[in-house]
Parts: sequence; C-alpha cells; structure tokens
Amino acid sequence: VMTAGLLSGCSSQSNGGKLVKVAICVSSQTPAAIAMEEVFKPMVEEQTDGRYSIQLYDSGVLGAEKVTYDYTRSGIVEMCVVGTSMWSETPVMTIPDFPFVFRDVEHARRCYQGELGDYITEEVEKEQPVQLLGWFPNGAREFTSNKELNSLDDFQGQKLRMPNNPIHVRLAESLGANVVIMDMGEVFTSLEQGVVDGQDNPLSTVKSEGWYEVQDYVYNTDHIITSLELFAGDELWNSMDEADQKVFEEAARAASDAAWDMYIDEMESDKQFMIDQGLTVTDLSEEDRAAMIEKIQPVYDYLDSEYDWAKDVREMIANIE
Amino acid sequence: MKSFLDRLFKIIDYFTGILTGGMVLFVFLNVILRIFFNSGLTWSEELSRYLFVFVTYIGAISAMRAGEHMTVDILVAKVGPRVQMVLYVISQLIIAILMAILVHGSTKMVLQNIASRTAALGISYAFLYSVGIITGVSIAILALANIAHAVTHPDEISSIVTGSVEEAEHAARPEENKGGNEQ
Amino acid sequence: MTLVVFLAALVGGILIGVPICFSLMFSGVCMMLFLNGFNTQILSQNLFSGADSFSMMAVPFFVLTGELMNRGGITKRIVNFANALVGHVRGGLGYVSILAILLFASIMGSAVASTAALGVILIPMMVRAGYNRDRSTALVAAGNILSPIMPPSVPMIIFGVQAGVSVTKLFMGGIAPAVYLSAALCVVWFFIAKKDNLPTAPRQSMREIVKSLLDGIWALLLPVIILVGLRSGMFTATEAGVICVAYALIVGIFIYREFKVSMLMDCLVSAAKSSAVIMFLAAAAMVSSWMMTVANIPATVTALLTPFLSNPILLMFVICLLVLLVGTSMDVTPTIMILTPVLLPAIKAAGIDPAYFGVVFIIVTVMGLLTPPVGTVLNVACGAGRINMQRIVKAIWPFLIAEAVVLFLMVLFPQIVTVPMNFFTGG
Ligand code: NA
Ligand code: NA
Repeated sequence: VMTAGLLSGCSSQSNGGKLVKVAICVSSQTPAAIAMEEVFKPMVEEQTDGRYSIQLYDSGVLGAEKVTYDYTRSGIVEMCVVGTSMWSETPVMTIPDFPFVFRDVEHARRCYQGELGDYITEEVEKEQPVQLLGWFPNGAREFTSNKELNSLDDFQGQKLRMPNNPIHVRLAESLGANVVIMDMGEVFTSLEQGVVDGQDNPLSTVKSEGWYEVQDYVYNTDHIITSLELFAGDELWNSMDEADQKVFEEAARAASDAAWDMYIDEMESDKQFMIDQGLTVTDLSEEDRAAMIEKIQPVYDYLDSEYDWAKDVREMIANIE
Repeated sequence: MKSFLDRLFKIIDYFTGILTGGMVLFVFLNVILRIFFNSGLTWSEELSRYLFVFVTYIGAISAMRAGEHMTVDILVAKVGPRVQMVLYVISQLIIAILMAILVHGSTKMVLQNIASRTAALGISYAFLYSVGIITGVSIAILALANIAHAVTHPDEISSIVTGSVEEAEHAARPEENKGGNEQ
Repeated sequence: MTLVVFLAALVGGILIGVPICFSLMFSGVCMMLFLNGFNTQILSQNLFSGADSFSMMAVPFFVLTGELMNRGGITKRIVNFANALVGHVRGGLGYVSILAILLFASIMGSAVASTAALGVILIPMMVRAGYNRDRSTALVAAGNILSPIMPPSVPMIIFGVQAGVSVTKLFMGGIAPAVYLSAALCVVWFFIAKKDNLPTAPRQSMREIVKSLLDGIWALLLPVIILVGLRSGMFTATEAGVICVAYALIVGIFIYREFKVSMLMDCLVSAAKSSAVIMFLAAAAMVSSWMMTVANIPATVTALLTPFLSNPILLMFVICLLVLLVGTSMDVTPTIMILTPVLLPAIKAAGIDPAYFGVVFIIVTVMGLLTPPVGTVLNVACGAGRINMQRIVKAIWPFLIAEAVVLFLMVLFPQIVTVPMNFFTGG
C-alpha cells in the first residue's frame, strides 16, 4: 500500500493509467466504500486495461460533502461519493431525505436503482456538470439516546443532535424534541458529556463512530432511508470515449448492487451488535409507525409548500413495487 | 492619504471586534438556553461560525497591514541590505500572486454556488465565499504597496524586514502582546 | 519526491521572510504544480473550510478571557494570594512566581500572553527583593509554558480539532504534566536559591493569608468553573470559552470594579486581531495539508518511521527530538498545523493513544518557545525583564533541562500521563 502511495504521489500517470481521484465522504468500513474498493476499482482498472487508475480517499479526508461535490464539479477531483448536501441548489436531492416514504430498505433499494433514481438523475444531469453514476445505501436512520427512548412519547423534551438540514430539524421538532445542530466530529464528546441526549443516524454509523459506548437506547424507526451517490465530473466524463463510459457505468451498477447486498446483510448484525453491547433496542411497531407519520405531518406540509412536485414524487414512490 | 488609511483600518478593526462580540453573544445565548431552558436556537451555531470566518478573513487584512503575520527573520536579519531588498520584493510578490490565486478561486466558488444556501439561515454561499475576494484583493494591494514603499525607501529596508524597532516596543508593553503571535 | 517539494517550498518561503501562513499556501501551490493538478479553487476552498470551524472558536474566546482578566484586576490578585502563601521561604518569591503561574495557567490559554501579563508583575518584584535579574526572568519564561499545558490551552484546541481528538480529554490530560513541570521548576529554583543565598521575607499572618484568599476568591473560582463544567458535561470546550468571558466580565465590572465597559471594545478588537492571525495560519495550513493528503505524504512519512513503529517509546522519543528541532525556529501554531497530519498516521499505526500523544506533543512544541533562535516567550520575557537575548539564553538552560527530564519520563512511562488523564475524564 505504501509503495503504491509513493508512486501515485510522484505522478498523475501512476501505473501508466490516468489517475482518477475518488473522494468518499464515509469511512472505509461502510458498504459504499468497501464496494468502491472491492468492486468498482478492480472492474474499471481491469476492463480498461489499466488506462485508468482509481485512487480512493475515504472518511472525508478531502473535505466535507458539499466541498468534495464542488471539487467534482470543478474537476479538482474526478469523482465523489457523497450524500445529499447539494439539496439547496438541486431541490430533487431533498427526496432521499423525505421521511417515511419507503416501505422498508428493500423497497428503498428498488426505488433508488429504478424509476426514482432515474428521475432524480435526469433532473441533476440536466442542470449540473456531473454524471450521477450510481446509488448507494447511506443507511436507514434510527434514533439513539441516553434517556429512555422506546415510544413516541419519549421524544418529548429530549435534546437531540440533528444534521443541519431543515427536513431533519423539522422532523425532530415535530416529534417534540429540542434540536441541537452540530458537526459529526463533535457528536461523540457531546453524547459522552451529556451536552446532547441523543442523535439519529444509521446503526452502522453508530457502530463505526463508537457512539454505542456512550448511548443506552436505540429506537429502530427507519424514518429516513437515505442515499449516497457516485458522481463523475463532466471534465472526466467528456474526456472518455463511449466504451470507457460504459465500463464506468457498469462498474458503478455492480458496486451499487454489492453495497446494497452488504448493507442489508449488515442491518441485522448491527442490531445484534447493539444488543450485545447492552443497549436497549426497540423496533417501531406498525401502530407507532402510523402514529409517527401522523405526528410529522408538518414536515410533509413544509415539503409540499416548498416543492410543487413533492406530492407527485411521494405517489411515484408509493406506486413502485 | 495615510491618515485616511489609518482611520479606515481603525474602522475595520472595530468591525472585527464587533463581530467577535457577536460570536460570544450567540454562543453564550445557546449555552444558557440549553442549560437552563433545555432548548436552543438552530441558527446561532451557524451564524457564529460564519462570523468567525469573517473575523479571520478581515482580521488577516488588518494583520497584513500591521505586519503581524508570524514571520521568521533568522536568515533575512543576517544578510546585507541589498539582499534584504531582493528577498523582500520576492516575498511580497509571492504574497501578491497567492492572493491573486485566492481571488480567482473564490470567484469560481461564488459563481458555482449562486443557487446554494446554508441550511439554517439560508445565507447564500456565494455571499460567504465572496469574503475571499475581498481579502485577496486587499492583501495583494498591501503587498504591492509594501514593495513600492521599500523600493522608494531603500535605507529603511533592514528595519522593514526584521521589524526590529517595533519588536522591542511590543515586548516591553504587555498590553500589546496578548495573542501569542508576535515574533 | 512530493515530500521534498513540500519541505523545500515551505522552508524556502519561511527563510526568505514570507510570513508562515503564506509560506504554507505557497508550498501547497508548489505541490499542485508538481503534481500537474493546479487549480485556484483548491487554495480558496481549503482556506475557507479551515476557518469554518465551531471548535476553533474557543481560540478567540480564551484570548478574550485573558484580556478581560488583566484589565479587570484578576491577574494581580492571583499574585497577591500566592505571595501570602509561600512568600516567606528562602527565595520565596521564586515559588510565588511558580504558584502564581500555575494558577494563572489554569485560566489562560497562551504562553506568550501569560508571560506578558505576569512578567511585568513578577520580575520587578523579584529584582526589587535582590534576586538575580537574569535568573528571575528565566524562571518566569520557563514557568509560563505551563499556560498551554494546564487547561485551557489554545494549542490543544488547535491540535484536537485537526487530529479529531476530544479537546476536553486533552485538557484533562494536561493537568498532571503541568504539576510535574512546576515541581521540577521548584527543584531547580531550590538549588538556585541556595547557591545565590537568596533572602527570605517575613511570614505573613494567618489573617493576611485569609484576607488575600478572600480578595482573590473570585479569581480562583474561574479555573474551578472551567474544570467542573468540562468534567460534568455542562458544556464543550468552545462553550467553556464563552462562560469564561462572561465570568471575567462580571467579576471585573461588578466585584473588583476595575473594568470599565469602555475598555470592552479594546479587548474585543485585540482578541479579534490575535485570533485572526492564529486562524488565518491554521486555515492556510489546510491548503498544504490537503495537497499532502492527495499526494499520500503521511503514508510516506509513516513508511520512513516504520523501523520505529514496533517500539512506541522509541517512536515517541524520535518524534520528540524532531519536534524539539523544528521548535527551535518555528512557532507553536505552525508546528502543530504542519506536523499533526504528517505524524498522526504513524502514531495510530504504532497503536499509541492519540490523546496521550497530543499532550506530549503539545509539551514538546511549547518548549520550543524557550529555545533560541526563535523563542517567542524568551523575547517577551526579555522585554519584561529588560535584559537581552544572550543573557536569558544563558540563564534558561537549567530550567529547560529540568523540563526535558520531565518530558523524558513521560515518554518512558506513559502511565504518568494517561492514568491521571483517564481519571479526570472519568474513563
Ligand atoms: Na492554560
Ligand atoms: Na524555539
């Protein structure tokens, strides 16, 4: 690994191939990063006979999500795997953060890899100098807390850390929680010290960030099943012939499949891991799910007032088998 | 002209001071709200963070004018005045070029982010990124002015590159020496 | 090879007199050109992202606290209290200085600021009592590096943010080393007092001690508030900064009545300027560190350090020597900003606790403030003690050696740092 690093550090033509830097905003242990390393990279490098050399930078070392997306648009990095931080300028990218639109994770996968994904991709590519090559699981978000949290009423008055995104903030507020916005990097210490009581993230994140050590309750709500997307900048894309583009597209699709398979396998083991670590894990019952959807109606009202297509998209998702 | 600039930079310093006061206020407000009222303002973290960015960028201009950016003079203090002049002109040129790069890059960021807004307050990223243009242009002008001053006052070059006269005064007066940034 | 370009551009820029912040950007641009990846947005974006940090806001807050304490009469009451307590032993004012510095260090975050504030009070006091001027000045200089070791600490905030290590944990890790270092300074001073046959002052009555304690109680409560607040999770390190500002303001205005509201603007401006310099440099370091990441330089350095990875103590020892060397000519913030991304992967690869490393790393780095040719604390102490550089350099070495011995012990026996750190953190 180190020799490879030395070589690629010396020249952008390492291994004889064109260097393709891929900024990944999640840790190397996540399904998306593993799929990029084990599926995407070898597939592209082999099928283009080494004309491209893929270099992955995981854990956000090249910058925050929004920044690496900007780098991709500018051609500073060739590709990136990021979440939905470009939502304010590309409104369709709010869709992956819509709460309770997917029936379950399998349904979310079919939507992203099918009609819904195609719809968003078309809208994004129409406006932005990027290609959206593939949809990866970012995870189903669950709530965790230090205070008792296993029913809808428990949200009342809890201090929950939320990402700086109006949908997430409104969701937590409509559940009765007090929202504290802070950066991912400060969450561990804040949970440990009780600056906040809890947060919402996929269990895989709770595991990889070590938050389970400082949390007591998990409420498996799956309220948002959000995505990561693989983008390629147009500068790279337009420099490739059609055959190479096809290779990249197929590798992205294969990596996407691998990541979703991995993620779905992991969900159960992550849950078991939390139980083994002594956390109280509660699944969301059908009645509570219905009650929760009712309670977060203000979020849908907000979405419908902001985006005239929001209702149609929810219907489209509901109609996907 | 000189007194106009002095006054301008005095105003700039006051401006950064007020922004710093704002940072204290918003963070303090949130701590109090959280500890005593178990609630918080979603926008105060974002606002204080961007005030901080402005303090840093605008303060950097003021520090450039006052010659307060940390510098190492172990080599330049030892060479003759002629070499000092050459090195000084080169180093100020490097600064001007770097700031031209900053202006160009910030302009690209502004254009790229016309439509994107921050999450809590909806401030335009284009507006936030434009502070890089202001700082870049200002520091580049100051660097070029430094060159012009040095070339027209060659007898002062030694004290310019080492800042020796000022340094003794600074060290003797503790109230000017708080930040850990003097050489 | 990129490592060479990085170092050549950085060191070259610094040596020809380019301010360190611009030298860092310059080395970033040189690496871009070398890697055929020149793009102006890399510079502008990383500079912005570097300044856009909530945790770093603790820097202006603690700088502002120092300003408010000096003008609000808090600083001199700490000295009075220390004097009443230990002023009567042989060379007592030396111990007074060490105690006052330690107390002061538990509120101030920057060595240069505390040297400036305490130097003008402590050095003339000792000289008037007939102590050797050079050695008195050296003691104050050597003592004041405790400021960034005892929490709160600006360098620890900078390191913690860059390394992704809990700032609170670093703070808690600094308490024990600060006490060891003060003890070491006391030992050195004991021998100096004996050799110079320093005079003693009359012992103060219990009433006088209680009086100075009561007068100084509000000042002495501030470190307690910081420690308890951080330890109990009432607030984060950044928030502790604003609590300190508010507290110092209230005590200065309403209790000691020495702080006038009209002084507030000056304090704010001064804090803004000082922290802008620190932050602009920290942000500039993001430009070169981004290029280093792209070029995999940390992996290169880890490879260079591979022979030591299997022996953590040896690795720490090598790193300490390297940092001491860099510290002779480089100031604290740039040393941290430049070396952290390079060294951290090796530290992790060797299985060393990054928080323990951070504490030791900060101590070595701030020792650089006492080593010529570039030692900012030396400069400021010289100004306060009215002596020149040569004289203080001659007088500082016994203290510096004592501090190096403490450092060596902390490398050899990491437990003397980690056990108290975990105790204070509650882990
Ligand atoms: Na301190
Ligand atoms: Na030094």
